[in-house]
Amino acid sequence: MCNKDDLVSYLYDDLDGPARAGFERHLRVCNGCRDELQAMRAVRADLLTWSPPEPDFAFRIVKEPLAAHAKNEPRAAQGTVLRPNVPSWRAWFTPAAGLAAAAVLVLAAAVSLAHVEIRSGADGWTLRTGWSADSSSDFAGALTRAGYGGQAHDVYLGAPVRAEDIMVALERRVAALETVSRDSNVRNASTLSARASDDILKTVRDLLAQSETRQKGELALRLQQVLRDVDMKRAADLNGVRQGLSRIDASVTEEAVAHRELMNYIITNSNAKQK
Amino acid sequence: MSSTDEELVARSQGGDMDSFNQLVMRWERPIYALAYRTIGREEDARDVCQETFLRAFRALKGFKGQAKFSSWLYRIALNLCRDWIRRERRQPVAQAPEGVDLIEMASEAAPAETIEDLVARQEISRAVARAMAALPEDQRTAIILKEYHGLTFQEIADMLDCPLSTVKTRLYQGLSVLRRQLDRNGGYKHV
Repeated sequence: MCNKDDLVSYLYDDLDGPARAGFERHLRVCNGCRDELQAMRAVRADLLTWSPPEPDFAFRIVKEPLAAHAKNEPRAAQGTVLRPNVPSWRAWFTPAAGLAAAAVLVLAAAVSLAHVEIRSGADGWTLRTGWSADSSSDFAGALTRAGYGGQAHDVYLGAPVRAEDIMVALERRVAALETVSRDSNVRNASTLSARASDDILKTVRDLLAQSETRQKGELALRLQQVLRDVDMKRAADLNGVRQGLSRIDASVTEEAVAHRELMNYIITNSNAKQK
Repeated sequence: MSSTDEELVARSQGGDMDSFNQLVMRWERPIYALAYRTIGREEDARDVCQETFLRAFRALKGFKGQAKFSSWLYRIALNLCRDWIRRERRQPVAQAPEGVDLIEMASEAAPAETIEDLVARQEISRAVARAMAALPEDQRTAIILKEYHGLTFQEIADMLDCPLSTVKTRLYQGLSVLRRQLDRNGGYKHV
């Protein structure tokens, strides 16, 4: 008697022990079930070829005041929305983007403190960092009095201006500011300015640290996702291999049965002839 | 070390939005794949996927962990797919995977796979999509959950609220119909 439940369980490798052995005994004598099993294995192999298109996931759940919802956004109670990551100004206004914007502002402040001047002249482009002696800025004046002013660092550039040189000059300038802020003599002359400089540097470091932590978290998530995808793919491959082996197994069993039948036939015939 | 679903759920229930978004990132692909294979439309599958997470988020406080979080999500997604099918009053669409073209398949192909093999594989894939779309909903769902999501018979039975033997019957009937359909479409030449 053919049991289709057993056939399905066997197909998905979900029969064990005596039930499995019993069904395998049945398979040896039932051509119908054997053919059906083989055909269903082939169907399963075909099913593996069908995969959905790669989706472009762009939503995360965020909370914001109900009044801020756009009309066409999915909305939930208590101000929960699905936020698509489309490139709109609102989508960009995430905490991470806010941090980045703040970092840019702080850098801009640092650049303005460093007093970068770029001039063009007969001998090409000139980049000047540092405070010149004739600067009217209070902060610059304080630095000048502290012995730092007037030591402008000039970088003469042929057009076009090299971004690397600008960055090197800026880094040098920020390092110098840091030194100045640590110098107690300077503090006497410009306590407020130096403290402001310290605060800015601290803020920049904090922002960079926060950004780095966040990026590490996101990277870990992505890695986890990739690993899961690889695992799923490996599982699908293993499944394919297992199905292939089962198919070979079934065909070997089939051949063995045929051989046995042939042997029986030959023995029966030879016995009959001997009689 | 990554957190388990249970840990992330517990933190989400405590109001940690980042933890819930980690769950979203972890499960959005399987849920989308389930929806896509059930209703056959890329755009609608994405909507179902979003709605699934939104509903899960709203109902999260009431989730007591009786079932696995993933099973709970699958159940929500399947209910939404059913709603979609009833609302649209039609069978799922046999949409050929738009994003899967020969070039893309070639990049994933084994080194020994020829262009003829790739074309044949693409043909089979289309035939499978058509045949699956033609299946009755309960058979299609059972096959999707078993074949593509690797759920056990018992998990499927729990999810679909039916006896275990019914799951096996649906699988048997579904695979038999697919066998005939694929044979007729010439999409299967292994036998």
